[in-house]
Amino acid sequence: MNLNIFVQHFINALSLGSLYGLVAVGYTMVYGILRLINFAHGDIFMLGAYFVYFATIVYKLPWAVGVVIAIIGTTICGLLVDRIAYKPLREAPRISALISAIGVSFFIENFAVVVFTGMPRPVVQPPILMQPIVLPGDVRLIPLGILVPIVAFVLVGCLLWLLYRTKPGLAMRAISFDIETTRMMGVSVNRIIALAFGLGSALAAVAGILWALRYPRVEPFMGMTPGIKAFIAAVFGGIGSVPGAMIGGLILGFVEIMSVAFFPTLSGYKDAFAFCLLILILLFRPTGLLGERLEDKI
Amino acid sequence: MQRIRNLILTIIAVVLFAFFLDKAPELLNGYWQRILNLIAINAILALSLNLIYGITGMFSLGHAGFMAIGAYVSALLVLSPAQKNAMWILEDIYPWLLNVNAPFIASIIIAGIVAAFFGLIVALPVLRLGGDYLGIATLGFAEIIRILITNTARLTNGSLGLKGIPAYTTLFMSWGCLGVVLLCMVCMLRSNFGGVLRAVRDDEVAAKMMGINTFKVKVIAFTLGCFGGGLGGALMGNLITTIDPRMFMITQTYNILMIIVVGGLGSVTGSIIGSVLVTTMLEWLRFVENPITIGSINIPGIPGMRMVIFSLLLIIVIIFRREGIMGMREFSWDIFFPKAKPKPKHEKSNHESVLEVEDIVLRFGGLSAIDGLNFNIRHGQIVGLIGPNGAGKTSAFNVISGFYKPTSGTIKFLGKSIGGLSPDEVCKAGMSRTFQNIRLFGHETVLQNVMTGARIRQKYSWWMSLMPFVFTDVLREDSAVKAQAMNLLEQLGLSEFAEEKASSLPYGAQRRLEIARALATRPKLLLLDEPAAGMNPQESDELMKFIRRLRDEFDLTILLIEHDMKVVMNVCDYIQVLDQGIHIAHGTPEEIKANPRVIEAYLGHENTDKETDQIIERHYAKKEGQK
Amino acid sequence: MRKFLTALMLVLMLCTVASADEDVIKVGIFNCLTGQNAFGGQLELEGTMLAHTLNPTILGKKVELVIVDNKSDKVEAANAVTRLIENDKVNAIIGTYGSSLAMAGGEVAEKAGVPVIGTSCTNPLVTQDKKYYFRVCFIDPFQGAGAATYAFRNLGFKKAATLVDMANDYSVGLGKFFRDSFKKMGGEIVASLFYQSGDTDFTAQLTALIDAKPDIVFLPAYFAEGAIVLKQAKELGATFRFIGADAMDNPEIVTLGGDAVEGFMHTTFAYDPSMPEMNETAKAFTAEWNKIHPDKAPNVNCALGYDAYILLKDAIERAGSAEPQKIRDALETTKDLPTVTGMTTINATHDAEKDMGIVEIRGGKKTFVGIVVPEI
Repeated sequence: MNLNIFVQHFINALSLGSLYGLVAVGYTMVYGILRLINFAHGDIFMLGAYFVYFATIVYKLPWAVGVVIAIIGTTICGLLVDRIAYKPLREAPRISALISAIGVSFFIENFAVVVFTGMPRPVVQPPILMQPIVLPGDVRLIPLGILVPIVAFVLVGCLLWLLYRTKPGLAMRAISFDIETTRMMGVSVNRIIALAFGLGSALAAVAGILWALRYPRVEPFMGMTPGIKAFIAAVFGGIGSVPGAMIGGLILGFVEIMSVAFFPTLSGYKDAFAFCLLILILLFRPTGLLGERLEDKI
Repeated sequence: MQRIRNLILTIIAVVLFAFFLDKAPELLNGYWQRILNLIAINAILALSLNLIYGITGMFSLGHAGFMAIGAYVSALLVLSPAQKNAMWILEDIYPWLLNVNAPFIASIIIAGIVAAFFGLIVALPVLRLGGDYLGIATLGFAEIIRILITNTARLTNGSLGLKGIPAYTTLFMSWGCLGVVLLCMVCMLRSNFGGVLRAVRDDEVAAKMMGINTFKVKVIAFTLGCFGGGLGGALMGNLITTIDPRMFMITQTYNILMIIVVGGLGSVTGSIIGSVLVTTMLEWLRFVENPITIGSINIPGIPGMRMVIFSLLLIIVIIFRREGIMGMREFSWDIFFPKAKPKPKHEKSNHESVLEVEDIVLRFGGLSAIDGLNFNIRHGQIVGLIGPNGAGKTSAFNVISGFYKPTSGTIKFLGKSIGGLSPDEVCKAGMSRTFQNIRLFGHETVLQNVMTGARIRQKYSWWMSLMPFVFTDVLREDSAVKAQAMNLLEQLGLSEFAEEKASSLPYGAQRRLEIARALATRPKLLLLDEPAAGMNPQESDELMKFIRRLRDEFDLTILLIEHDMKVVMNVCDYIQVLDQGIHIAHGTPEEIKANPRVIEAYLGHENTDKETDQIIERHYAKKEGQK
Repeated sequence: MRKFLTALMLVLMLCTVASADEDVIKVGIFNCLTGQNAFGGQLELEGTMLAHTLNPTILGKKVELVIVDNKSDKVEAANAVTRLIENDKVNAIIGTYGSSLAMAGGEVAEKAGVPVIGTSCTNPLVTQDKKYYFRVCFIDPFQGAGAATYAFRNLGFKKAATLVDMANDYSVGLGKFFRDSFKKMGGEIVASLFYQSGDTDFTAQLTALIDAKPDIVFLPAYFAEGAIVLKQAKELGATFRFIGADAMDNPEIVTLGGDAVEGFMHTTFAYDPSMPEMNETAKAFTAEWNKIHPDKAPNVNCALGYDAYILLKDAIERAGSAEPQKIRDALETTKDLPTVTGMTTINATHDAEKDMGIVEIRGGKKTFVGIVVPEI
């Protein structure tokens, strides 16, 4: 492998990794606050992509409008899911909410099959984002590949600001620490959780839109793989840590691309490399890269 | 009597069911026979995952991986060389694999064992993780298994999968396997070892202090669960007669998880009910995808509707019955075991010096929690460890009982060094403790809590509990332990609560139960962490008597942390005082009362909270009273 | 709640009671209407239903279709076939997309002695040692060799590479047969890369392929993944050409892939709406399809779904009876039956022997290039 090819791989990895990171950040919002493994995140993500598809292809709206509609629509869906399937289980054992999440995931996927059919649909890519920029050495970079990391990092910055510099952010962190005490402090817990869900869903929508742009097709099961990858990335980085999720996503992207780059004959084992690394990291850092060490109080 | 009655009822039920299975081919068509088979297989899978997750509390998402191992091992063993030769069309099969063959029954057992072996390999490193981290690690493992199966085509035929597996999974086979699994599991869960598994789930820290090597227990449960997963996978392969790696994706694990949660996490009965419900429901709901004619209205079939309705039903069930159908309850014919009451025997200890603590230093980073602690406790003494908040008392307890490793210094217990031992080893050496914030196994009965404490004195191994009718030691030892536990409860005035859930007890009784549980390990030295916390003066008076009684009746040596000066001064023979990690004084209660450094430590502390104020008030009130 | 559940169960019980009508020929369809392969199964179902609408009676008896979903899942596939045979007592079965699903269902049908006609399950293992499984499609080795022959002989490429979905038996099989065939003809395989079903990012594999400098890359992918691969190849500036197989045959490939699919070729069955010379059956099919689905062009899956029904109809008519055993015997002797995808003959291994076509995307349109005769 020469340097040019390596640079190309590096750019590919950065683009894929930040996309994973973006999905994982939305995932970790809900995860970090409620400790709920939201298996339906990938499916909410899928809804975001479908909203864009309907807005831009079926109803021929301009791109920007489509994006706004998708974010609002997905957020509403996310809030509905929380209200119907998770809120009644707030006091229940965690596993009940988890099964409810699996139920929601099945529901959204199959609902999509019934309504949208199983046929994959195309997504319009704005040409301006897709025109490859040819760097020296025939290394190619599409503008979308730069846009994704930028959006991801800006959103992570905003989230960190929200979490650490604002009142609702403080309340969110308090809820993740101890929901009962927070309630007694006069914080309207349900509203804050709804806010977190809304944010998580909006982030899922953004990720779904960018994903659909990068890999331009939407189908009912498109959220499955990103959902699992986001879960992995979130755990990589440490559950509940926003920067951790981003870093986790990047690591995942780099492992996937570089394992193929260096061992092309073993490309069938690509995902196995990622999982092995994940397990190794967890063995040395049992709570992920940036996760808090939880001491069992005796 | 009741026991015999229940046994007879069970046998009648089993015989009736066997008769039904025998007649099933005539009564039911092949479709419903297949559903019955699937129910049994799903029940085996659910039971095994329930053992891992519901009963022992390890969140595992890797069951599909172990199923895959089982299914492949069994299939490779039962397929004939000719079939194998014909099937490996892309790559050549390994020559040694071609002629490997085993009869069906052997193949499913080997399948279970191989899966269990892989389970063990995974468990050893991964079970150190907790919660969701364990979940993702096991999920990762299952995915790795799947990817390996996909890529090692010479061994597994890769993504082509295997086909033409003889359909050995008959109704008798699947239900027979379920029967054996069920019997072993119920026996194990009813034995004291089963209680230990649930104790680990409820409170791992407390279980350690009961002398239980929790890591070992978790590894055993996980490995057994993997055996079940492998067995279920093997039966599944021989039912469907064709397998490929895509059968064993994460959704397979979700399905099993769904069954155990709908049935009731931790309930064996629930797993069975769950598998019946989920399996039949999925098939029944097929009608929504066919065109339906109701009166004159014609509704065309809609593909996908079935899963939409199924997932809605799932959400509804979970919202309205969040604990699942059975919760943690079990079906039973109302079993009550007769109560026997042999007297407990206490071994005499001849060691003069029970505990010797020398130069203990404990640092967290740059922070010193304890900075040079020295003391001795002689046999039969009651020693108090006091000091203002943050003095390092509980840290000292944690060091002595093995939860923290001291930065330097030595601890000798009964003449032997115990520095660096884990809590369960310390417990086995003869030390037990209670916790400042009560740590009971909340979901278990009071009796089971105490029996868990007695597990270290039982000689039978965990695997014997799978077949108690063969290894009758299990039944004998368990009933002995039960009798001893009842006796202990009686001595501590808790026998009326024996069958109640520990978490439902009043506060004072919970404190006493924690002590009873600690006593069940037959300690020589008992550490009590603030036994009087939250008690009114009358209760603490009783406590003082109780502590002395404990020492005399159980031949104990006691070290206690206490803030209630009245208790400390009245009950202790000797007192050690800590302040901000420094050992500032020791002596008899009289000496301590007069020690100016102690008074200063309590008074001079800036963060004197309400509690400390009270201590000082009481302290001076008492002095005045003496004048 | 309890009342509701009881009521629900009653309804369910009623619905599972099968009606036994003597004058009806029951044809079961098990296909993937939901799940990962839903896009293929739904198209095939539409094809079969079209054939049924056009031929609602066989031997003067009414034909009733019983449609069961197999959720693209093996366990469900076996259940679905059992249900069709045991509960609905079907005379014959049509299905399915996906070889592994066909294998799972085939075992059940084999034991019960009910004939099944596979639509697009192309793995050789599906009909291996099976007395009751037939198919209207040709098999993977034939098609892999076809793609290699076209690339080596017709296009004159000497260096090839493969990009294969490791988790998909279809893809793995075709990749292997392509490589073998290409090497046998004297070509060189410069790289062989893999991905897993569900992947969406292929940049790493494509960059490695660019590094290996092949003339042509064989891509036996499903069309949804294939279109994304082609898009990313274009973004990365790949200059080699791609050739795929029948799973890429879907009108959506152009909408999904846009200008990136220009010049892409794939082997397929000898049917395409763009074909210049269609046989009568194909013409009728195309016309009827366009009437019912004016917004959607037919593809090979629709045609195969249609053909399966035609094959069954022919067998029942020749047998003069709808008895499963007789249908089976008649199916075995099918010879030169005109179907949408050319003349169909069932050979000794129960596979359809038919012509293989090559389609190329030219000017954003699928264009039927011609017939290729694979060198096996």
